[in-house]
Amino acid sequence: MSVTLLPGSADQPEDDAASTSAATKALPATALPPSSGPPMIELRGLRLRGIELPADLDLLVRPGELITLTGPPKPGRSALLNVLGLIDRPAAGSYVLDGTDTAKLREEDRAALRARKIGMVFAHKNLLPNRSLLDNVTLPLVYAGIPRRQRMIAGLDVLSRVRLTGLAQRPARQVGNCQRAMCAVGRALITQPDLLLCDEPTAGLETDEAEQVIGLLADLNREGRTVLVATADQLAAAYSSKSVQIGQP
Amino acid sequence: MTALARPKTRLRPADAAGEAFSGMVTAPGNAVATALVALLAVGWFVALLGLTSTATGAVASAFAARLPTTIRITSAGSRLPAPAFPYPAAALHRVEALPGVIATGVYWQIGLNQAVSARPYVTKKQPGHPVIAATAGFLAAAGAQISAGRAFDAWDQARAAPLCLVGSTLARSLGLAGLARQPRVYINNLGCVIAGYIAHASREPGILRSVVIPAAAAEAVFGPPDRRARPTLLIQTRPGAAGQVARLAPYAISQTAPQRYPARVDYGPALLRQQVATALGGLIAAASFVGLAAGALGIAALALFCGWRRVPEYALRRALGARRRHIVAHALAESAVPGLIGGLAGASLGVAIVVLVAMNNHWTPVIAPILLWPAPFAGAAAAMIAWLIPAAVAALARPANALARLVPG
Repeated sequence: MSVTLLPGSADQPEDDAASTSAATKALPATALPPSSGPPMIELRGLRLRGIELPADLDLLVRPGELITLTGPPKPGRSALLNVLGLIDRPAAGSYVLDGTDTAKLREEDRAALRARKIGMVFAHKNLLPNRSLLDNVTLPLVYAGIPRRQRMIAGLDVLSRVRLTGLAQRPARQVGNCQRAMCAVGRALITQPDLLLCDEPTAGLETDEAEQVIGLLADLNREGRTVLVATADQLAAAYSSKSVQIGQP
Repeated sequence: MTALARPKTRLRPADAAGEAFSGMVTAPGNAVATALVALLAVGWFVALLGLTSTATGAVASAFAARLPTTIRITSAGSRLPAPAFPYPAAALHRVEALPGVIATGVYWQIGLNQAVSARPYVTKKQPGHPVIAATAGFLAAAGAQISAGRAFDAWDQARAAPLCLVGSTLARSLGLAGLARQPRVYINNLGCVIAGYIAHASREPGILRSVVIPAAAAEAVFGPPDRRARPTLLIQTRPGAAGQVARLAPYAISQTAPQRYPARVDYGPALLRQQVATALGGLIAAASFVGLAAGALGIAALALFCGWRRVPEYALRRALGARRRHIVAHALAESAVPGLIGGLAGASLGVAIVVLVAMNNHWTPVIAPILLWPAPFAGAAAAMIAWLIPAAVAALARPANALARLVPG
């Protein structure tokens, strides 16, 4: 049986939506309404490698949505984000990203599409601990062939956006959890992606720090970016337009 | 922000170098370890090769000092009539002109042993002693050293001066008490002035028990050499030239009948030299291969270890847009520099070791440049190859798996 979660899907019947396990919340007043254009993400019959789910995954995400993904348990959420971020392939099923069937892409084309379309905030933030925050946020631009001067300008711009300007030259290992989370968001933003995938962005943060990070993600969503947040944190769910429980039969 | 996205990810060479430099500066442990292993491996390799080649040179020098330098030519018996003294001055000049010849001289024993005494008219039966007639170059060719007095010279030879040289062994047996107190000896009761004493003769030690007189004087007193005397031509050559001179000298003496003048060369330890050189060559080859293998394995092991620690970081870079070739470029750039620096320092260290050991043993240091110059590049190449393995693993692995190993930052 296929478990379907199609939040914001214009062609989803009401009774279908009611049959899913998704817990849909009301849109916050600040959130932009999702675009009615073609879907940004379309999953059909997806299975994850090494993750046993009770049913195949179907998911439709429209541009401009902010969705929190809760469930399956954390390994499954991270695995799903890795598939969505094109750094892993599904065991089965199809994944169409902004009209491109990713199953047909070669590895290098996936890397190019990932660099162009997707910004990822990894579960452990995965910063280079010995490099400065500026180096960390500009790392994706190294592989975009951007000259160093332009990288530095863009990096400082992003650090300003995530309120880390004063820590630009500080090694990542010397800053706190909140700064690392902000830096990871900044690194995801540096290529101006259409899709932002965040895996547990508030893990290990105090409540006020988590609010800063989630608030930043909500701001980015208001600017028009599609944001998917995999988290068990109810605070994140409160900011999202949709909260999706995946994997329930 | 400006639009920064590009259709394809790419890595500029300057950025590859910059990322490698940043990696070395911010986390120098890997670079230092790679350079250190390259230093030790290349240094050990260069030192081993240098020491073995230096030792080979020392052995070769020791054997070169013992190469044959003496040739004896004695006219062989023949049915054809041959002159009693077959070495005219022109023939000796031709032999002396051969490349590698240092000195030549002709000598023969006068009759059988002669009665030699320190005093005249000794009635008691005296034991016989050899009396040798020698041309001017004989003493030099025989390596004779005069302990007292002087040797013959051309003037003595030209005028058949009644002089003689007495070997030190014979002088002791005759009880000769020095030139001042005993200025002459008596050969068959004929007085002969002692010009000097022969203390040493490296190539003809028999003359230490003999009396040597100028050939001209011998011919004047005892007549020319007879057939039984068989004058011998003694030739001193440079080390290594004896074989060539021995082949040419019979033709220099007589172009029409060279077979009458067979040359004898004392080859001494030539066979031993060849055996030692062969054994040493095998040892050098084995040691070189062992050194090369050990050095390469050492570099590879540590570089592999260092590179392996970078796998999660490479995976992160892949997740951020790096292509597989970019990861390989990172690994090559980051390993080449410390490998090259370590190899350069190792080559210098190896040369220093060779020079110090050679100086300590009074050897000549020998290092083949063809082995020395590529050594730093060999270190860099070994490090790069070793780093390629984890780079390939990172490039081929699923980034999602490798990311899980990255230390949370």
